[in-house]
Amino acid sequence: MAKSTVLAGLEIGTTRTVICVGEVSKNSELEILGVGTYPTTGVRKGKITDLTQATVSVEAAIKDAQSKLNVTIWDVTLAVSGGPIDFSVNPGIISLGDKRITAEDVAYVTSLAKENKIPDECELLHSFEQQFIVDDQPGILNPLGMQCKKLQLDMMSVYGRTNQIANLQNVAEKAQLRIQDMAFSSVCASMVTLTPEQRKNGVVLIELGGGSTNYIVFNNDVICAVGSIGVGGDHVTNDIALAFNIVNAQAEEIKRAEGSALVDADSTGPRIQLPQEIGFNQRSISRKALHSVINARMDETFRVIRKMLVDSGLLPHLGGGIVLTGGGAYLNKVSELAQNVFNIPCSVASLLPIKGVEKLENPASFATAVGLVTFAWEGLKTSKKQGFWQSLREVFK
Amino acid sequence: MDTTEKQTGLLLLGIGGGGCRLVSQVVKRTAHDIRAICVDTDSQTDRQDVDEADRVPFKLIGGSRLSGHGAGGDPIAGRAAAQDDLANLLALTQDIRMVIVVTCLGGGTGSGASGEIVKKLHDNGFTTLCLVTKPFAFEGKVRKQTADRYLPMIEEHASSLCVISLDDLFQETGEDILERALAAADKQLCECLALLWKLLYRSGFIRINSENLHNLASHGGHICMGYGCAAGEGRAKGAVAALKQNRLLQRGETLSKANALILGILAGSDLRLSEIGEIMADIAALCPANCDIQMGTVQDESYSGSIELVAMVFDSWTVVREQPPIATDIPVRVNPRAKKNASGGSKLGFGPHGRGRFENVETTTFQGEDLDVPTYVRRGMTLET
Repeated sequence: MAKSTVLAGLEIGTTRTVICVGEVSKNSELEILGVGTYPTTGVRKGKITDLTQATVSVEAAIKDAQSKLNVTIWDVTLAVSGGPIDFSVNPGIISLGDKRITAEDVAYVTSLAKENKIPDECELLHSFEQQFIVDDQPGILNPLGMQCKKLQLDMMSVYGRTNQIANLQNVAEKAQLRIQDMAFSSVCASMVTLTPEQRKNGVVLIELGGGSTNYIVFNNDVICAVGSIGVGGDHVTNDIALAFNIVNAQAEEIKRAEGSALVDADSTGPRIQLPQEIGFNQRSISRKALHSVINARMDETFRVIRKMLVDSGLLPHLGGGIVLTGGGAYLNKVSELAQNVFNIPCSVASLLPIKGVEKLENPASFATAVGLVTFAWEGLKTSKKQGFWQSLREVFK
Repeated sequence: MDTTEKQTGLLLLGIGGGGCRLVSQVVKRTAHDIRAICVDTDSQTDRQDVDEADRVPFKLIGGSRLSGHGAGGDPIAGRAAAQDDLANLLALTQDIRMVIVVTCLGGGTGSGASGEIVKKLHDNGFTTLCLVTKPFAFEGKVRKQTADRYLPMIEEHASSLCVISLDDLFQETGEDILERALAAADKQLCECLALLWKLLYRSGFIRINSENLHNLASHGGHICMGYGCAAGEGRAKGAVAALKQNRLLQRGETLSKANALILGILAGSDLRLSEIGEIMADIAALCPANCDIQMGTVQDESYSGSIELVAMVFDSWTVVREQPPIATDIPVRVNPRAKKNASGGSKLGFGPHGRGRFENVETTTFQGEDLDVPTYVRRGMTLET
């Protein structure tokens, strides 16, 4: 590249809209310049409920980024999250007689595997190669040159609902942005938080967002499962609001200031005073009651994911543990709760050493946004589309 | 604050330069008997081009951010300024049940701040009746787009909403000379609001019950306000005819679809009972048979010889006809959006079995369970008090 290239990633979250800007220098080094943020309206559970309001949030985030970072943003990579995000695995199978596998054979079986029928009204987001199976021997990463009678490639297709994706696109376009690419948010977050060792040993990244909880599972350096549940930090806030008969804004403040995902010795502290409201005397609530409400919701959310991992047989293969990202990762003692539920080690994500990320406050909450820029950068490195998917696989090596 | 305001808890809130100007005019017409506040990002608005005695209490928002220089036509700046001072604004609403918000869309503060303020009021249980104007066509595409973009934000949280196109309003005045057109337009808008207040609080043959207004406003919907006046012989029929021809009521079409109507009759001491009868008969003929018409009169000697009619038409949502008795003076926290349901009746439960803010959003289910219902409820947990 003759001059530096500006890349931007847009995440329209339920709570917050984030636009992350990075720059690729002449010697092909990516640097994160910073982020622009703005509280989101018009989005519930990761889905657009009001195009106009969501557009206003995006425009404000762009303005914030442009003014802080002295850049102009036109092109973005757009994050897709919020349910349902689902996947299916399709095998592509060819019979070779008994010969050595060539590049053409690999290309052909790849094309067959990609002919994955996804549900109507859904749109394909990603295709990930999982494994080659050579004569019923699984776990083959590179079959070139191997003697083979039957070659199979398992391809995972990740997809989301067409209308929801279209709504996200509409919002970005109404904000005068061009969409270069789209990606599932957890895929992006995993690119900037998980080490090769974690991906090899087996790890689940759980993204605790405001409107949804997303996850991605790796094992043997292969993406094994992805998913999204329409439950997030907003549900915790809503539970608090209904339990104590307070408005959501107040519930959100209390959650952040006094909340805890565990009910333990710290829950027996002094009562929490609520600000006096019009027509009501000053009230206080039990700290233990607050922690109980939060614990119930977070415990259930983790157990839903746990059930999915158990049903798919993946839970015993998570030697790398659990990594938490998103704003919810900063809820007090949430990683301890996850550890209790999954019975494996859990930690809040820290971003891989990409230049510029040290400037970000609460970096785990920006994992998706930074990941989008990285995703865009990886896409730029590859010129051909079929090569891109291979390149993406290369990212996880 | 006097006893009247304390009992009914009504506040007139002007936001932005245009809104503040209109509120000042209304206050002047009600001889300062109405509680009102002007809110803007521009400290110059505090002067309000009126005499010291006529000045309305003013609150500057976003002072630390904008230094009192205004939002510069930037609604995002207006919105941020409102967010900076929401808590301070809320502190001004002591003993208030209902807020009438007046703003002119198209600019920075009026467009950006209004949505945030209305949302805050809604979140804190206030009934909000919003009167917003949309800019003239000649003000340009940018202001029009700004108005179109930010109106839905007000609409989402307002209990009731009245949108007035300035183009329609000025055409209604029939004036071409700017000064006279402005005066006539102000008269229509401000007279509507001032008369509404007079119907509630001033003595007259028949008063509008403030509880009825609160109930109508909180049930939500779009409101149209219209004005008509006539003098001399046949003034009753003339006023109704003028009201029917009012462009803001789409020349009677709005009346023909009204679910509920508040009608104010402003006249001098020469108002006759037969004239009230004529007016009501003609209005009833224009409205559907099941339209709930509430009428009030205000007698003011300065209006002797003429009759002015102000109509506030609720034409969207179902109106509940039987009011449950209100036992105390404590403001009842009713979420008006709960009533905004085509099938009638509230679906929002404030009890633990409701879904709270996830009402009217696609349900998240897992193994047959509705995950939007609080977990502690579904687990049957008893919380420590």
